[in-house]
This record gives sequence, C-alpha cells and structure tokens, in this order.
Amino acid sequence: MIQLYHVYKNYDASNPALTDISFNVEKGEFVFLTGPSGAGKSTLLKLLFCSEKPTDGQIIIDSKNTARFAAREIAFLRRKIGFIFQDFKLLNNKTVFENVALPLNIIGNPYNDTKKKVEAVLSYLGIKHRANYKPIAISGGEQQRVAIARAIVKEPAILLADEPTGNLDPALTKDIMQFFLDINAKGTTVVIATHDKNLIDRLNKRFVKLENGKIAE
Amino acid sequence: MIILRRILYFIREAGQNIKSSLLTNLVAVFTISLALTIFSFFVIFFVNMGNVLDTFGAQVQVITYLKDDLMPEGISSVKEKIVGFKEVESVNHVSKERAIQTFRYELKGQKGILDGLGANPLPASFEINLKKPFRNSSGVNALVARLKGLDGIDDIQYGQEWVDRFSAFLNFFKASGFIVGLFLFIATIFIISNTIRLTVYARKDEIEIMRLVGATETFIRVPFFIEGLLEGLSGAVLALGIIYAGKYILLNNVPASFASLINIPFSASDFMLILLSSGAVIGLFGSFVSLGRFLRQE
Repeated sequence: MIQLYHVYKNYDASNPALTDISFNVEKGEFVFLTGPSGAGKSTLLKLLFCSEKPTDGQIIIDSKNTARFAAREIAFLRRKIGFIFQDFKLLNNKTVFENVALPLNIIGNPYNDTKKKVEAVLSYLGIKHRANYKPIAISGGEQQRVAIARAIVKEPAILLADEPTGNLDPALTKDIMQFFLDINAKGTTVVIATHDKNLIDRLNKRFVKLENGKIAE
Repeated sequence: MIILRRILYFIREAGQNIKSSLLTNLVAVFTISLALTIFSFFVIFFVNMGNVLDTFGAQVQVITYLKDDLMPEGISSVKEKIVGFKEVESVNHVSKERAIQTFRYELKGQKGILDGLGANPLPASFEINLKKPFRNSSGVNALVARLKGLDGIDDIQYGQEWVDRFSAFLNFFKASGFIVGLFLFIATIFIISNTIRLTVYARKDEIEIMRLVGATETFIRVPFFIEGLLEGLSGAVLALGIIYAGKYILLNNVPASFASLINIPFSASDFMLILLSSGAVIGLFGSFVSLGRFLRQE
C-alpha cells in the first residue's frame, strides 16, 4: 500500500530532516511511527500526505508515485487518505456535522447519504449529541473525535494520525486506540505517529522507529 | 445530477461565507459601490462634455464658391461629385439669389446700401458639412484638396485656424480623458481586488483545511467567485442608487446650463445593464486576482 525508497528530506542542507528512509506498509497493516520529538515522524507523515515533497527518493502510495504529483492529483490522493492532525484542523465557523460532512461534500456525495454516514460515524464515536455545536464549544477530547470522524467518514484506504493521543487522559486514549483498531479490522491501512512507548507496548503492533531522521531499527 | 448538487452546494457555501464574515463583505460592497460611483460620474461627465464638443464640431463647415459662368447642369454635376466624397455628410446649395436675400436680411436697417448695385455680385456656393470623424484639420484639409481638383470652383473658405485649434483641443480632451479613465479603472480594480483579498485572508485557515481533506482548487475557488459576483452586483446596485440620488440632488441645485453635463447620456436600461455587468465583472475579476495571488503564495 505504501512504499518508500531512499527518501530524503532537507529543509536546509546542514540539517537534514529525513535521511535514506525505506520501508513498506502492506495493505490492511497497522503500523506505528515512533521516536523522540524531532526525530522526523511528522515530516514523514507530511510526505505521505503530499503536504511536502521529498528532496530525493520515491514514495509509492496505492501503486502511484507521488513525487511528481500535480495539485489535482494530490487532491484526489487525499480523498483516499484520512489524516488526523495533531491540532485537529477543524473549521470553527462550521458545525461538527458540517466539519465531518466536508470530505463527502467534496466528492459530491448525495445529501441524504452524507447525512446518514455522518450521523452513523458521530454515534459510533459517541458525539452525535454535539452535531450542531461549533468546535470551539466542545471539549478537546470531543474535538479529537470530530477530527477522527472527519478522517474516517469517507472510509479511506489509508488512515494517518499524528500524535492522536498526545494530550488525552489514559481512559480517552484507550477509547481512541480502540477506534483505530476497529477501523483497521475493516481493512483500512493505519499509520500512527506517536512518541508514547506504552501505547506501542500495549498494542503489540509493528513499529518503525526514527532517530535523528533515520530509521533506527 | 452531481453537477446540480455541486452548484447548490457552492451557492449554499457562498451564502454561509457571506453571513459568517458579514462585516468584511459589507466593506467590500461599499468599496465597490464607491469605486463604481466615482468611475460612473467620470464617464457621465466625459461623455456629456464630448457631446457638447460634438455640437461645436458640427459647425465645422467648408464653403465653396462657384464660378459665375457655371450652368445649372454644371452646378448639379459638381454637387454630385462633392456628395460622393467620403468626408461629406451633406451639401447645401446656396444660389446667387438666396445669397443676396440672406445678405439683405442680415443688413436689415441698412438695406439702402445694396440699392445701387446693378447685377448681383454674390456668387452661388455650396455649404458642405463634414461627417463626424472628419471634423478636424486633417479631414478638412483632405476635403479641401479634393475640392480644389474640381472644375467650376472659384474659391474655398473654411476657418483654418479655428478648425486647427478645435481639433487640437478635442484630441487633448480625448487623450486626457482616456488616461484619467484608465487610471481610475486600474485604481478601481486594484482597490476592489484588495478588499476582496481581505475576505479571502479572513478564511486562510479554511482554505488550507479544505485542501487537506482533498478539495481541488476549483472546488475551493468557486464559492469565492460566487461571493465576488454577489459583492460586485450589490456594489453596483448601491452605486446606481447613489448616482440617481446624486443626479436628482444636483439637478435641483445647479444652473440649467450645467444640467446637461449631469444628465445620464445613456438610456436608463442601458445604464443599469452596463453598471450591473461592470459590477459583476469587477467582483469576479477581483476575486480571481486576489485568490490567484493568495493561492500561489501557499
């Protein structure tokens, strides 16, 4: 599903962010990207999401080389990927419902079907009662779930998450990880960046460890 | 079906956007209406001024005096030739008799002066009016050159100096009006695109997020275009109101001789159509320019 070949990313020449990264993620796999802060986890996710272009190397996603993607192709790739951002990136002038419906509106999904899917995903995540609230009016944990809902509502082939449990308490963390496991069980490839060692130990999934922009093991 | 759904979605989005940033949108609408008002007043004044100058221009006339021995057939053949010249709009034949009658009439009280005359000393003539594009020195000179080539013509008279000065002034007026108009137009576009840019900047984050969830550039842009279009149209409607109110107030407060300069020199429906479509084009163009600049910076 995801293949990286000798990927380099330099923001400035003296201080490379990523050096010679190569690994594969199979379809339906659940993989952690781990390592200390500043190891390059977020940069790597950005490359997978085409927010940044690699300085060198190839990134193949769903059999397509993304290195030479034009803006339009990037947009279409992103429709297959759900991304949960560390800072959620919700639209504060729109309701929870409208935020979650956005990816479906973008692909021109019929309104009735969108309504059904959004309501289903909101109930699944336990925030249906917040549907008509603006994101600023709900708690951080609920905002996190809205971000997850928006990422999974279109049933993406790949789900990427950047420190999704970064500032949640242990109980909430457990709930959120369960959602990811459920989504993965339905066939979605999941890649989660986290520095939380306990999380990785507990779930016993494959992980790719980064240190100073290189693969550590 | 999907296209209809898209269109409905875009319109709803644009509506929501306008509602959520009402103040910036109002600023944009007021700016557009002011810019359109100033530009319209300029155009109205310029066109009216041009019309006044045109009536002066209509007085550009070339008079050819005919030789006394020219027979009536000769006169009509000369007239035919003159009518055929491309510069000529109309030709008025003034016979010897008409000429003396007019002269008598103009002398009024001193008719006695003419009593001692035996034969009529005044020549017959053609008064030639020129077509609009030729009412200038080069047009007049070209016509005079042609007239000189005709038989049966004794003398040609035209106010050379007056024509020269008038056409120089007309050229200056047109050129300066064009330059001022061009500057005004550029300033209008510039101000409007910057105002619209404010509304775009206000939604910088939104654009970024739309992109992150897979929206194409078109999908992001269309609601802004609709917004720009609506802003432009509303600005134009407001400008129409200001112009008609301004015209009404001015007409009641200026001397009648100035009134012709304030009158809107187009039919009301044309004027509305011009202003509304300018508003629409400016709004669209403004959002196109500011969005293009904004998205490229990303």
